[in-house]
Amino acid sequence: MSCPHEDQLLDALRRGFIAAELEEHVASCPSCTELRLVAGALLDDRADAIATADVPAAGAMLWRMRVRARREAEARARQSLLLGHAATLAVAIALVAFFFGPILAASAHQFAGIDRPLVIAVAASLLLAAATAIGGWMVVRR
Amino acid sequence: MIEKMPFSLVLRGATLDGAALDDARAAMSDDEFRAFYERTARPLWAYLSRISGNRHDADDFLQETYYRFYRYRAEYESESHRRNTLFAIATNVVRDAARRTKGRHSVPLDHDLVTPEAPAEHRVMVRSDLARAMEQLQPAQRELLWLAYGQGASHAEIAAILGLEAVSIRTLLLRARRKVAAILTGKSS
Repeated sequence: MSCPHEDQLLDALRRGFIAAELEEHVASCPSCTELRLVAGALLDDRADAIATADVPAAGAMLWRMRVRARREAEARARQSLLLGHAATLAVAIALVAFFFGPILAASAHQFAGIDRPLVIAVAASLLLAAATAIGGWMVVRR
Repeated sequence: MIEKMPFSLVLRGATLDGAALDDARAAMSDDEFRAFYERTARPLWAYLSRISGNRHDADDFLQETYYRFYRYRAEYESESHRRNTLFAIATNVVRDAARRTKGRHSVPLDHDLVTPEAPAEHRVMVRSDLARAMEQLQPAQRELLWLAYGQGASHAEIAAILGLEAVSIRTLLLRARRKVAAILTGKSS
């Protein structure tokens, strides 16, 4: 459906000059007429847009990008720190549970008559709750 | 099909630490960047404003595009390869924004096309008609038409920028062109 003269016409439109011979062809070719209408309008619009574009200076753009990069780097560092804190807390809780859990379970059994398996189940539930809370907090902060 | 990511651009969501920024600088010096920016900023802004349909958003998109480009470390075979990468990033920036703000009404193109310079009346009419016609197109058709006729990109370049098969460009372009022509000539509602 396209015409072999289309590339030639596009070049002419970009140059802003259409030779008489080509003009004659365009008048008799529906495909070229359509191309001239659409491409001509787009090229005019582009020229207007470029003329009226209010873009920042290159230096200003570089400065903005650096500020943004620095902010992102800071945010990343803060996130790493937060992860470190959360990991430390989790390890501390695990150590406390490991070393003092059996003693607490034995004490509870001795003084309150609570079964050891029940104490262990309660301790495990508390640990799970703590881990969930820490994980949730990290997700929210992220 | 047009949602395919061109050039395997895995830029979204990435953050930049100091070392990565140094790497990015090494990939393109400040002077190189300034020169490239001077050559491309205005045509890129024109592309962004026309495919997004909003010149105010285009300002933000411009900044986001150059930021992603600046962070994107790549070996460029030529100036056109570098420019095509920039336009591919710009296309993704606009698509990302469209996905985020799906359904939000943007400022119609014909409202912001009337510039303070007040060009001749008939020219304003043509531009206004074009804006209306572009508004009725799919975003991908707008991108295609602008790149092909506004930007003068080859079919291979358009395929690379938009992440399409090169063989399908001609057909898609003809279809989009026909639609705009019909609207401009009043043969379509």
